[in-house]
Amino acid sequence: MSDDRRSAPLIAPPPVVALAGWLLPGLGYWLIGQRVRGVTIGLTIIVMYVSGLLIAGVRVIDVPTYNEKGQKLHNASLTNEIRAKPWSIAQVMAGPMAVASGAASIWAAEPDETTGQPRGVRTHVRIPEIATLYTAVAGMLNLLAIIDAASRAGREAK
Amino acid sequence: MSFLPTVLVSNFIAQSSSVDMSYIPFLRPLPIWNYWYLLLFPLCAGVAIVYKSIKCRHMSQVPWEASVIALWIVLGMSGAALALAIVVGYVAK
Repeated sequence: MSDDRRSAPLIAPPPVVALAGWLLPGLGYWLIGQRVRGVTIGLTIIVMYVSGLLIAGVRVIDVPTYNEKGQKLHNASLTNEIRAKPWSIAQVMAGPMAVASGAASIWAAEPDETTGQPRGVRTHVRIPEIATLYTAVAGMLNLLAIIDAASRAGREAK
Repeated sequence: MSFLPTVLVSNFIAQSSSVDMSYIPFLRPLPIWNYWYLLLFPLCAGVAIVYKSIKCRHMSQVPWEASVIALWIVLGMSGAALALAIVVGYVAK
């Protein structure tokens, strides 16, 4: 691997780089011309997040204001729900794939029409704890990458 | 020390005996109840790769630097686990 600092044809402003980094992990670096860094970080974060879902299923994603049966809690306060599920903040930092897996988690929590059981199983042993760690750490690392890419974009613009 | 997890897992399996627990990707968990700690190694590797990709000036430095820090994370966690096991063993006496 050689030095990946290539001159980008157009320097994207830091907010655009940050938003791109959230939309697709590593895309922020790609926009500022650091493609090897972007691909390495993006692929690692995506693999880590998807691994978490493969280890314990989509139900490791705890969506605030939804209960364990996938029903919307209309009277629940969002701040109280986030306080009860703080790892959801870290998970959502992984980008739209976190939002999509949250929707899948709600779907998997709903009972199947034929069996009456939830579509996805939620266990309370160590495996889901590790899987939650995978998804939350992936989100936190993406936040770190977003901040770094935006900061580099700011320095390049000067 | 491996008694407690085994009891928990067997209780879990007994309680969920009516539920089919065969692995279905994204819907049911991997049946690796007694080997969960092995999952910490890829996590350490991922953290090390991303951290060093952010930190290193040149990407050519990342493979070596990430390997070293991944090893340090594993050693640190093993040390912490050993220390905790000694403390728990001492308190349990």
